Amino acid sequence: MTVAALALRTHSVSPSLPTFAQAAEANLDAVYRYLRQLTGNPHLAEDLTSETFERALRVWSRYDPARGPVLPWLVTIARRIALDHFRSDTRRRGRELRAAAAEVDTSRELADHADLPPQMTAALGLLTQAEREVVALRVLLDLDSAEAAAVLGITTSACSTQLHRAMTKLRTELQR
Amino acid sequence: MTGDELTPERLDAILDGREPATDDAARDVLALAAALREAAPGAGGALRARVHALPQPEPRGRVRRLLAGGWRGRLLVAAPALSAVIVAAVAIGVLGQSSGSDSARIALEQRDATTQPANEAGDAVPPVSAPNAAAKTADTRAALTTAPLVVRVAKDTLTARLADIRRLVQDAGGAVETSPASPGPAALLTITVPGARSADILRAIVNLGVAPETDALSADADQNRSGAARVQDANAHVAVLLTEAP
Repeated sequence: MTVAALALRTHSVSPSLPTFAQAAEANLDAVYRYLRQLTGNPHLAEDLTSETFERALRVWSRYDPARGPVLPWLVTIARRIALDHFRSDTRRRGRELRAAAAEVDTSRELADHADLPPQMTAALGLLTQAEREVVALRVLLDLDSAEAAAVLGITTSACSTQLHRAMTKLRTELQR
Repeated sequence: MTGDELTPERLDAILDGREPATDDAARDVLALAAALREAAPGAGGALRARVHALPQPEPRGRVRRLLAGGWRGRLLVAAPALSAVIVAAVAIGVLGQSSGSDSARIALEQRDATTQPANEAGDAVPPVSAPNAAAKTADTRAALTTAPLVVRVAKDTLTARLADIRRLVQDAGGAVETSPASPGPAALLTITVPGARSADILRAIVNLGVAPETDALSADADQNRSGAARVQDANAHVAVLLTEAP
């Protein structure tokens, strides 16, 4: 039975504990947007999103609705997967660099923002990865400050400061 | 929007809807947030299909859901389990104390309440055998316990003695259950009699026996006489093994 089919069986589900199918359906776009913003690469974001839900499925029994909504839980998984990817990608690039003595094309990810409006792409390109991440969590996913800080593993104060810095950069760039 | 116009705290408040957008800076923030959301693409059809195709995990059982539901859920599971363990421990303790030796002692207490003068006069105790009769525990459990008495009767008289016992007990307002229903050379009786009459009945039953063996039970009963009054208002349950002497 697929997730889509099971999503229809809502009558037998406790409202306090969504089925995995319901959680996936309700949060797929949000997780993708977060990863899209974090990676700057739609194809990579798709792969990581898929991997996120595969991993979430394996550990679904550990999800505790009493501790909070499912979206921050999913985003935490997504973030770990993305960071793992970045670490392995960095190692891979390092090996390639040493082997080919070639220069890494650091502009590749920004170019992948091509499906966004050009002005927005340029503005987002000014942000650091941490700033893009906090914008994704606070603005795109609409997590509150505490939830976003918990996902990022920082204080709410640091989260607020980072968001303020990011929004200031974006506003300045978009007003040009 | 600059840092001077909008503090991080105010930015949080505006984004969270805790503060209305009453000035240009706040309106700029909300407009920027709306533009970012609008520009952010959702998951494509291929990705949606991949996620939908994932298998569904097994539904959780109620206990598992509770266990996964934080400390309140775990408490809901642990409390009944702990209660059951405590009840079991108490029950085992009570049964352990009240089985066999204790019940025999209680039955003897009841008997002794009326036979004390005879004992003090040095009368011989009828042929009764009750293992571990010297145990000393709470007297108030008397009515809940079973006294294992063994009464040996003359050869080929078991059926007649059984009828005697049945008559004695029924006359006293009690009841007798026999196992097996058609006894051979031995029968196990479960006698229920009012506590106030139990001493008389027990004495009468043991008097049906032959071959007195010991008066140790009398000594034990003397030691526990003080508890006898506590069981006078309750029913006494006595198990009697009736056997024929060889």
